[in-house]
This record gives sequence, structure tokens and C-alpha cells, in this order.
Amino acid sequence: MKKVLAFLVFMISGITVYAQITVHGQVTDKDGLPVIGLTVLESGTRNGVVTDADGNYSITVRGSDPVLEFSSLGYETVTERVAGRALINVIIAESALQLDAVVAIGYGSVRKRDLTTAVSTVDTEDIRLRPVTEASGFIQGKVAGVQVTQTSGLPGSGMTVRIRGASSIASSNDPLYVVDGVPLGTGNYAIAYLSPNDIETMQILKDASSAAIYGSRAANGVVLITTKRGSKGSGPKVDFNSYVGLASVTRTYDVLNAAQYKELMDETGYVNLPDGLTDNTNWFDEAYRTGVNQNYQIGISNADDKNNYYIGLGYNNEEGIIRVAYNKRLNFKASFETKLYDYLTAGTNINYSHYRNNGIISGTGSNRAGVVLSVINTPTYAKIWDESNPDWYWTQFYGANLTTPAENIARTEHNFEETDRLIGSVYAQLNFGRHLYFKSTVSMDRRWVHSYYFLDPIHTSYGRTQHGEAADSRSDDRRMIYDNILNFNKSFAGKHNLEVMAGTSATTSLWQNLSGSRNYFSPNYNNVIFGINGGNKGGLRGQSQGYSKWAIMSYLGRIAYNYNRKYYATVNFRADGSSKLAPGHKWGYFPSASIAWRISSEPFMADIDWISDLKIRAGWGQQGNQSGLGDYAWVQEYGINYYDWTNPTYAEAVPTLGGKTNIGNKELTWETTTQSNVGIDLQTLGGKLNFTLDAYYKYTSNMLMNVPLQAPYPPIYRNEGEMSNWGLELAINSVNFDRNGFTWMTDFNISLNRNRLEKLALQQVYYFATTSEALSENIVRMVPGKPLSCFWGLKATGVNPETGMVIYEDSNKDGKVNTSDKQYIGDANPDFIWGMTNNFSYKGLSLSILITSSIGNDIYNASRIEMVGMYNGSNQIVDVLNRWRVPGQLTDMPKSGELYNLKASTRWVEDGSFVKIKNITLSYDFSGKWLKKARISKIQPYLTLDNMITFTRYSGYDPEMSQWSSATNMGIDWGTYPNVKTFTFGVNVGF
Amino acid sequence: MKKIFTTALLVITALALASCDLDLYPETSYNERNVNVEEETGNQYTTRADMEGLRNALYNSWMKDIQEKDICDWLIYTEVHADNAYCGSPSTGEILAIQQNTQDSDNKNIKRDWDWYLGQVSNANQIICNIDDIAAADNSMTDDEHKKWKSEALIWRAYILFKMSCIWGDVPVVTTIPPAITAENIEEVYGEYFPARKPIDEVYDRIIEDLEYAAANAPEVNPANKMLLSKAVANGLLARVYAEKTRRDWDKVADYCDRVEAAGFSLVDNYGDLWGYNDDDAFRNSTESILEVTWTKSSGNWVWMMFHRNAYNPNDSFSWSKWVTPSRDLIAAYDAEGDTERKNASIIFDKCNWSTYYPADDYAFMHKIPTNASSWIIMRLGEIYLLHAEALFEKGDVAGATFYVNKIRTRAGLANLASVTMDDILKERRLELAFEGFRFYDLVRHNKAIEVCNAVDDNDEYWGTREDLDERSLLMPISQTAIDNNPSLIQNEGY
Repeated sequence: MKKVLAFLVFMISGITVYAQITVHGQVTDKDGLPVIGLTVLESGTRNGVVTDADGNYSITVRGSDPVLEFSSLGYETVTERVAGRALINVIIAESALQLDAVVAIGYGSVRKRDLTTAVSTVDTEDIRLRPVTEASGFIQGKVAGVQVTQTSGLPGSGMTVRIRGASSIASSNDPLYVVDGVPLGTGNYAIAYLSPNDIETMQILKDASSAAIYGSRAANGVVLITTKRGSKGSGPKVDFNSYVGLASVTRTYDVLNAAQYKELMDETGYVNLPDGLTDNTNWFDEAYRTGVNQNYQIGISNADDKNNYYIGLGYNNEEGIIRVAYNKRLNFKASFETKLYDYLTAGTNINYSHYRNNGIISGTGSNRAGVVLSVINTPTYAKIWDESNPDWYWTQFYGANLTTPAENIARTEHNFEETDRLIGSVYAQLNFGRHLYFKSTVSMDRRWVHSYYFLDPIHTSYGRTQHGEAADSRSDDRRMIYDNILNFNKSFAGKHNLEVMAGTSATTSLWQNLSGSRNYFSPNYNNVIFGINGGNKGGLRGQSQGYSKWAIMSYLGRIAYNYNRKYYATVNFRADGSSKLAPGHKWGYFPSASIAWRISSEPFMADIDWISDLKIRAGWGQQGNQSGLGDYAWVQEYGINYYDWTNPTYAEAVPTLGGKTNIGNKELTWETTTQSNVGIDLQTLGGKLNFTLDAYYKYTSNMLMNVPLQAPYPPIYRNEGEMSNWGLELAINSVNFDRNGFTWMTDFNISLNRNRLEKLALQQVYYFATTSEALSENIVRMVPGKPLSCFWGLKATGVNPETGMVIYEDSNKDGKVNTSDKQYIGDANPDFIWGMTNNFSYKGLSLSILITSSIGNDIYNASRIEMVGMYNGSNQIVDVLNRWRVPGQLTDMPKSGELYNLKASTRWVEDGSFVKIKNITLSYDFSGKWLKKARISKIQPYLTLDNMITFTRYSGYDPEMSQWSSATNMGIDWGTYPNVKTFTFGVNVGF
Repeated sequence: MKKIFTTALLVITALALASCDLDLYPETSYNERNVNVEEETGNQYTTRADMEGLRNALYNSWMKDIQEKDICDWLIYTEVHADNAYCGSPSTGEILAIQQNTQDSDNKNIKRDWDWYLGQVSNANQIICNIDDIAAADNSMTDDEHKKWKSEALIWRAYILFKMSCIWGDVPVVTTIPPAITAENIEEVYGEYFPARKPIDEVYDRIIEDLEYAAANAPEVNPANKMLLSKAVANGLLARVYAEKTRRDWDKVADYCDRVEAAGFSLVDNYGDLWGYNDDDAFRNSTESILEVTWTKSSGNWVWMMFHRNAYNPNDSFSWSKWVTPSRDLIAAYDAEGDTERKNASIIFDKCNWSTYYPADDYAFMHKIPTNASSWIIMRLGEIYLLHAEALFEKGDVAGATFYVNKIRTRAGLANLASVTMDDILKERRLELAFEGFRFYDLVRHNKAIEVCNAVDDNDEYWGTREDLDERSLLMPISQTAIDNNPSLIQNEGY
């Protein structure tokens, strides 16, 4: 046994003779100044040191023919063969490109120049200059192939992220977020806890060969985030960042005044108004206010040869433009790493975040207390408080079914969700020699959510009907993640570079909750008891309990080989087993492979000066998606019949077995996306002009869907369909100007994606999305052969001047206008999207402008039905003053009071193309000698304007808005919380 | 060094092989793991206790679920589509369309009714199809229980199928539980979940066969509990069925009416008592009621808010213009007859905040669900008497018809008629059974629907622009979603 081990040790170290040399020297830049914090690495090993404050380094090398690499962010890598020298001084040149930046990929990292896959790095330089509260906000407009939309302005709602189109219907289309190696889940739910200030780098794994290492959760791409750590090069650091911002609504509408409203009501007869009503309230002013956002963050870090640590603490308060909406977050982060011995490094990362948000009633019309639409629909004669009952909100609408915005806002005044998120991980890394290491990580992701709702029994009419209500729910979501990775990395003969990685990962999850509710609250004593204890009626069975578990077991491996950094090949493999799938189908296998060729290193390219680097790459892989699976998706479940025990017949009743609530599926398996990607990375003009071009094709099979059966049978959840996406992405980075202290750099990206539903096995037609209660029609129709989110309705061709009715096209020429004349009238998917960032800097002053744009997407403006529909007692916007009134009148606004004019049709479909100057940031960096005396390394005040300028033809609040963020119903504006424009002033101070 | 390597390698191996348990089952619900389920059919009902549970569900939830579909939506088909009421709120497209006779296959209410009726048929099938096997296998079920429970389910299924055939004509008739869908058999079995429509004749065959068995085996009438699917209910439904055009047999109608009348019901003294209430509770289980759905005051219905107020809580939910509003034509009909007792029980005038159809200080409301504790009467003796009168008249026995009509008129405080015509009978049915779900289909079966409905908006602008009724619009369209998903369904003509 011992002999075997010894033999293994020899094999691993791979050398029979070793020489040992200590090399030292100084690294300077082209101006002769020392370069601090530059890494000096013995090639093919992990033996490395960092230059000190004078640019000096000293390293002991052991290889037989050691080669030293000198590299640092922002500099070109220099390699020097030691060849016996003990003194090597290096002059290193800056590079605008970051080819040598180390890029995180799944379970490892690689230099950017060695990437064989489509991975985009998000520039996080401006994180401290923009008032974005959620990490997903920074990606917007910066990465080709990634469409980020702010679908709602509600504080804390995050953004919808789509990497290379939507490939799923029942499952989420959000990417997987991995923070410091711990997969946290998808969507805003996973990432809302993270304060952007703590982010160091952000990478997006777009194609299969990069993301497949995350196997069953990676079908929508992966966002890899690493958080800040102490850095020896920067020394002890204290950073203080803060900003104050003012947010306001993007636009207002002019509504009819009391006299015009009465005229409309007299015409339609919906409400009988008395004469002499006056304009009393401007509801826009009452409902919207300027929201004040504040953010204060502190970070302390330091590192030396053995230890490094980072501590961050912060507070963020985002007030909504509507009174009751807010998001407050307190975050704390501590990470610590120590090198106990040469062969053992251990560390820990702890993240704690406490955040609370409160929202409004949206996605519905003013008859159901939708706030945004009621601002327009409430007539101006109404006041805030009722005249006969001063504790009630205004109720006198002469029969119209309305509630004031003040009342609708008060409905959710106490309707918050408070989350405590604790993510802690501990890891240890054992080094066996210089080429092999084993790293084990144990992480806990614990989330406590407290949802609370209270409505008093007096002020609102709904509260009066319910006699007050309170509901309280507490849940505890506990996940444990165990990762074990073994990694071997060696360079043979200086040319063959091999990395082999193998590992296991296990994730378990337990979710529990308890909730209760009561109503019938006493109106006395000013509602002092505003929780459950104040209610007398608890419902027949007022409490309920939830409990569910899931687990994933994974095995993964990677082999990456390159020959002299010219020819690359990488193979990944991952096997995932999930408890959510049926026995016999629990395991899925996700292989991927990629190759690359650095053409510019070939001898025949040596003469072409203007090309600094040219690499082509191709990859293929398979990934899975399990986010749409319920925890027990395949199990046949039955309902529980409960009985009304207040009825004497059932006083002794016990629950009995109910009917089937689903149809169990013993064949349920992963949804699999197979993706092929071809890309070109081109750097020219010494790195001043760079291109990255990718083309991809994604095919999703075994797509999970809930297939309804004929009523009354429950639906069956099965692998039902197939979907395809193909697209092109182009990213261009250029340094346009760099002289005399003035620089101008541009990052531009443009991408297009074409999505199509290919096949459905059983049900062939699905309808989604109902909006206005006037007609309650479904406006989205999904069939094989068309993309998702296509609108379905009649074609409206104008207003008949004789009758004032909308003319709909009788497309099947049968003489009648009805359901059979419906056709596809719009598509929410854009033709292409592009983004551009321009950075100007002169000495310490810098200006950055971010433009985002989407062209060719349609929006179904369902909110407009409530603004100009004229079909009930609601107030309307001034556009209705053009309505048809007499025969012969030519106009585009039809007659009032006719539901016929409100059918789902092109009347409500608008072009949502936009170009937004999304962000303008001006900052000045004070640094220099006199600050250094005060021990302040940097003071940077800045001014940011967000979402101020939008060029669009869309008539609603904002062309990015969408009530639903599911891929099947994008692009529908239905009473959604408006996006805001923000003006922020902040300052970053570094000590 | 070597020790470290040894332990390290062992640790690596151990950790690498450690895995988590992937066999997890729900712990807060009934599922295949913790319930005894039959392999073949995936049927979870195997014992007497299961059948008893389902029977309880029939009364406790299936029948009480009629509020949205079988009261609200049904009254739109029978009262608003005819001449008894306007749709309460002309801003609600689905009901406005039925008032104007412009309904189309996108109508949400028609869709939800289709789905709900089919769901009820399937519920009933869970009892009907399983109870025979269970009775044979489980000794704890008595023969009496077997017959009674089966009959109750059969009556419910027949009632539902009858309603469906009135609304749509040809409808699917499902009498079996389709086999359990698994991933292996789904492609073959899928079609069985999407049955085609059967011709109305076959529908009636099924209804009659079910009701005949039930008429012989259902429970006896219980004077203290009229929420019971009894023999009298079966007989009453048979009488209604044989009066329809498809299977018309007036002899049988008269015969079944006799059987119902022989079961011991009697008219209540005052018409208004049928929907009466006092400070403590509403009246229920009257002597006249043959089948009603009952509630208690603490666990009451919600459908009261669709029509007027809850007398026990008058200010609740009285802020919108309601689901149906009595028409001027109906009020005029009551006034012409001098019929105050029935008018006051059916219609109430009240002050409100809207004036859609009537002035706000004197607005008309439907009054037959005055409290949340009030019952909904599905069948009562008064209706049977008038049906009996119809049958006798059609058989040529005018004297007999007049006799029954006069029983009703006397109870309503009106003078007797010397002799009746079919128009008199229909008028009597209209005034007696207003808002109980009969008007439109009464007119249809006597070929008067087109004439009456087209005339009603001639002098009354509150009906709006009403499209004329014709033969094809006597039936409702099948919902477009059902047709999209079930290619074997064919739409009704003209839609």
C-alpha cells in the first residue's frame, strides 16, 4: 500500500530530478514606474507571487525548465524563460484588452485568451456609479445575446433576464445564478439578497459548452458572480459608497375634467350624474410622488501572504413612486481565507441579508382595485375621503364600479414580505504538490420569509365587506450544498497544457411553512391590534402547513487540453440525479465539448500586423432545466375533502380522500436543451478594436408542460413539446481615442434571436393572458410553428364614419365578424436588440453613456382599453374627446358605450420599439498627493441619470413594461407599476 | 506525508461516493405512496368509506357549487335570453352578449359552464362506475346503501345531462371512467378523454335509463331534509324530460306528475313563504319543495350578492348593478294580471346608487334569494302542477289543465279561470316560476321563443340592440377552446 502511494506521488509530481532557483527582479511599466500587485507565476503550476509596492518580486522555481509569466489586469502578459537567470527585470506594457484577465467558468477559472466557449464578462467598473439595486440590472445593454428587460418599476422586482431566447414554457427562463461557486437558484428570488456593491466580477456563460457543467439547471445559461475579497496588491482598504436618488414616474396623462366626464356619461347612460360637479382632485398628484432612494455601503479588506479578508456592510432603501411600495435591504458580508500550511488553505464566506418589500395591486383594472389604472379611471370630482363617513375613502360614484387610487393604495399598505437570507460556506483546499488539489466546500443557503397582510375594517370598502382581514405566513427554506472537486493542472514540455477536473456535488432542500388568517376585526380603538389576534373569525380551518423536500446528486468532470495555446479542446461531462423525477428516470447526462484554434499564432499569420489575436471556436453541449418541476411532480396526488363542522351533520366529520388533483407521470424526465455554437474572437490594431461574433442554434426537447385534459380531468405534467432558438451575436469593443489624457472607449453589442415552438404532442393550441374585464378574451395564442408571445385577435381597419363603430376585417369572407376571423396580429419578440456604452474620460473626469434598444417588438396595450374604452362609469383620458358623435364624422376614436369596439384586435397592438438613453453618469475622481496625506486614496463624487430619455412610439408608460415575465405572455401592459426615471447623486470614498 | 496522503485519498473516496437520497414523497397530502391505489385503473376508491365520502361530497360540495354555473349562468340563459330580465350590468360583455343574442364561441361564461357540467358528470361517474364492484367486495356496504347511493349519483348525472342538452343540444355522454393515463398509453388513451358529441336522442336515452333506475331505487322523500335526491326528484325530472320536443310523450308526463304528487307534498299557504325568513333564520325544507340546495346562516351562500342584498347584513356588497334586473315586460305582466303577491315575492324595489335600467331611488331587483341562508329551490310542487296542466291540455283534457292552473292561482290570491289556453298556461308558468330558471326553455318547447323574444324589445329601448332570434340561436355555441383542443367536437350550426 505504501509503495503504491509513493509511486503515485512520484507520478503526480512527474519529475525525477528537480533543480531549485530563486529568481528576483523588478517589474516596471513603459514610463518606468513600478507595477504593484502584478502576479508572477511559474508556468503550469500554481506557484506564484505578487510584486510589492516597489514592483519587486522574488520567487523560487522548481521546474526543470521553468517559465515565468508576468500578468495583471490591464497589462499584457509577458513570459520569460528562466534559463538559469537569477535576476529578471521586466518592462510590461498596458493593454486595453483584458485577454489575460482570469475568467471564472464553472468550477474553475481560465484566462480569457484560453476560452473555447461563449462567455461574456460584464464590466463591473460602474457598479459603484449606478443606483441599481439588483445584480441583474448591470447586465442590461452590455452583453450580446442577453435581453434584460425591466418589466416593472416596483422596488425590489428585479429584471427579467433572457439569455439567447426562451426555451421553456412551464419552467423558468431565467438563468442560474452562481455566487462564489454556490448555485443559488434562478431569477430574482435567488439574487435579490445580493448588494451589487459586493460584486467583484460577473460572467455570463451563454452556450452549452460553458454552461453544461451546471447540467440540469443550466439550460438558460449561467450568471457567475464572484464577490470581493481582500487583495494583497491593493493592501488594506476601506471603501465607503453612498448615494441618494430621486425617482419619478416617466409620464402622466391628461384626463377628462368633471364637465367632460359628465358629458360622456350622459352620452353613454352608464351613470346618472347630478349637475354642478367640480374638479376636486388631481389623482396623478395624489397617487405618485417622488421616491427617495438611499444607499450606504462600507467595505473593509486586507490581505497578506497568508490571509485575506473582506467585510462589507450596507443599507439600501428604495422608496417607490407610489406611497406604499418600497424595498429596504440590510446586507452584511464577511469572507476570510487563510493559508494554514503550504498545502492547506481554508476559508469561509458568510452573506446575510435582510430585506423587506411591499407592493401594490397591479395587473387588473380599476374595478378590482388596480392602482395604476384607477389613477386615470377615477373622476376628478371625487375627493380622497368620503363626505358622509369621514373615516371611509370616497364612495360616491353614482353607481360606477370604482374605487379611488387612495383606497387602492391603502389596500396594500400592510402587505409586505420580509426575507432573511443567510448564505454561508466553508471550504478547505488540500494541495498535493503543485499540480493537484482537492477542494471541499460545504454551503448552507437558508431563507426565512415572513409574509404579512392586514387590512383594517373601516377605511376601504373591501375591508368593510370582509370586516378586516389579517394573514400571516412564515416559511423556512433550508438548502445544503456539498461540493468536492479534484483538480489536476500541468504543463508538459512547456507546450502541452492539460487540466483535468472531477468532482461531486450534492444539494438537499427542505422547505416548510405555516400560515394562518383571520377576519372580523373590531373597528374600535383605532385598530390597535393589527395582526391575527385582532380577528374573531378564523375560517373553517384557519391554519395550513407546508412541507416539501427535494435533492440533486451530481457527478461532474472536465478535461481541458491545449497545445501551446494554439489548439484547444475541452470536454465536460455532468450526470445529475433529481428527486423530482420518476423512479427509473431520475438521472440525466449532460455532455459537452468545444474546440478552438488560435489562427493568429500560426506562422502564416505572423506578417499580418493589424491582427493581434484571432481565434475561432466551436462547441456543442446538452443542458437540462428542472425549475419548472414541482417538488413531487411525477407523484399521483389526491385531494382532501374537508367538511363544514359548523353544520351539525358534520360535527364529527373527518377528512376523506378526494379526487385526483393531477395525473401522475412515471415517465417524467428532464427538459433537455442541445446547443451548438460557433464563434470568432478577433483583436486588431494592438487591441484597440475587438470583435466577438457568435452564431448559435438551440433545440429544446422533452419540454415540460402542464397539459390540460377535457374538463373535469386534472391536467397531466409531461414532457410534451419541442422548441428551437437560433441567433447571432456581435460585440465590438474599441478604444477610439487615447491621447493627452483623454480617452474615449465604446462597447457595442447587437443580437438577434428567432424563437419557434416546434412541436406539441397532445393539445395543439394553447391560449394565455386575459386582460380587460370588458370582454375577458385571451390575447395570446400558442401553436407549433410560431414563436411564443404572439397576439391573436381581429384586424381593425378604422372607424366607420356612418355608425362610429370599429370596422373589423372579415378575413374568411363569410359575411360575419366573429371568432373565426381572428388571426395573428403581433409578436412581442424583438427583431433584434442592441446596446452601446460610451466612456469618455479626461484626467479624473469621466462620462459614461449607456444606450439600450429593442427594435421590432410589439406591445399589447391592454391598459389603453381602460383609458379610452368608454364602456362603463370610469373616467377616460382626453383622447376620447375626438370620439365619433355624428354620422359622417371621420375620426379614429369610435363611438362611446359599445363593447363591440373593444374586441381583441390591432386597435390595442402597438409598436414597442425603443432606443433608451438608459444611463448617463458623470463622475470625478479626486486622487493625488494631498489626498494621500489625509490617507484618503480616492474621493469620487458622481451624478447619474437613469431612464431619462426614451425614443419610442409606444403610448404607454414605458415600452419595457410587461405585466407578466413568463415567456408565453411577454409584452402585455396591463395596469403594471410604471418604470421610473431617476436622478442620483453619490460619492465613493476609499481609504 | 504519507499518512496525510492516505487519509486524504480515503476522505476523497468517501466524500465522492457519498450521495443524497433521491426517493422523496409528499408528506402533507394524499398520494400514491400513502393511499391504497388499484394498479390497473389507478382508481383510489375501493371501500365503502370511500363511497360514503363521495356521497357526502355530492351534497356538500357538488350541489353547492351550482351557485356560479347553475344559478347565475343558468338564469342568464333562461331569464335574460328571453323576456324576464335585462342583464344587470351592460359593461360585462359575456352577459350582454346573451341578452343581445350576439353570443359567440369565445364567451367565457359558456366555456365555464361546459367545463363545469362535464366535471359534474365525471364526479357522478366516480360513484356510479365504482359502486357495483365495491358492493360486491366490501361487506360493510348494505344492499340498501348500494342502491340508494347509486341512484342519487344517477339522478345528479341525469340532471346535469338534461341541462346540457337544453343549452347545447347534442352533448358528450360519458358513462365510464377513462383509463388512467400513463406516459405509455397516453397516445392511445388521449382520445377517450375528449369524447365527441352524441346526438340528442342518445343523450335522452341515457337520461331516461338513469332516471328510471333511480325512480325505483332512490331514497324516499324526507320531509325534514329536501336536499336529497329522492324518488320524487327522479319522477319529476322524468316528467320534465318527456315534455321536451325530442321525446315528447304527454301521457308519460302526466303519469310522472301523478307519481310526484302522490309522494305527499303540498303547496305552502303563501307564495312568499317559499323564500321567507325571519330575524333568526331563513325558511327551508317547506312542504312544497321537492329538491332544494340548503345552507345555514353561519355557512351560507354567496349568490345572494348577485341579485340584491343579504337581509341579515344589508350594507354588504351593495355597490354594483347586479347580475340580472327584472324587465319592464315582466313587471307589466304581473300588473296586468293584478298579481301583487307573486310580484312582491319575485321583485323588490329598492334605493341604490345606480340608474342603469331604473331610477336610482326606485330600482328593481330579483328577490328570490333574500338572505345568505336562503335555499335555492330546484324543483317544487307548484312547477309540477303547471307541467301537469301542460300535459293534460296537450292530451285534450282542458278541464284537467284548468284544475291545476287554478290551484296555483288560488294560492297566489288570484281568481280562477274558467278554461285555459296554452298561452294561459305559459303565462302562469312565467309569473309563478319567474327567476327560477324555466322561462326560455318553456317557450322553446312550445315553439314560441322566436316570436316572444323578438317582440319584447319593440317598445323597450332598455334591451339595446337585440339581434333577432332564429332557429340556430336557440342553442348556445360550444366554446372555442373546447373545439381547439378536441377535434372531434363540431360547432353548432351558425356559430
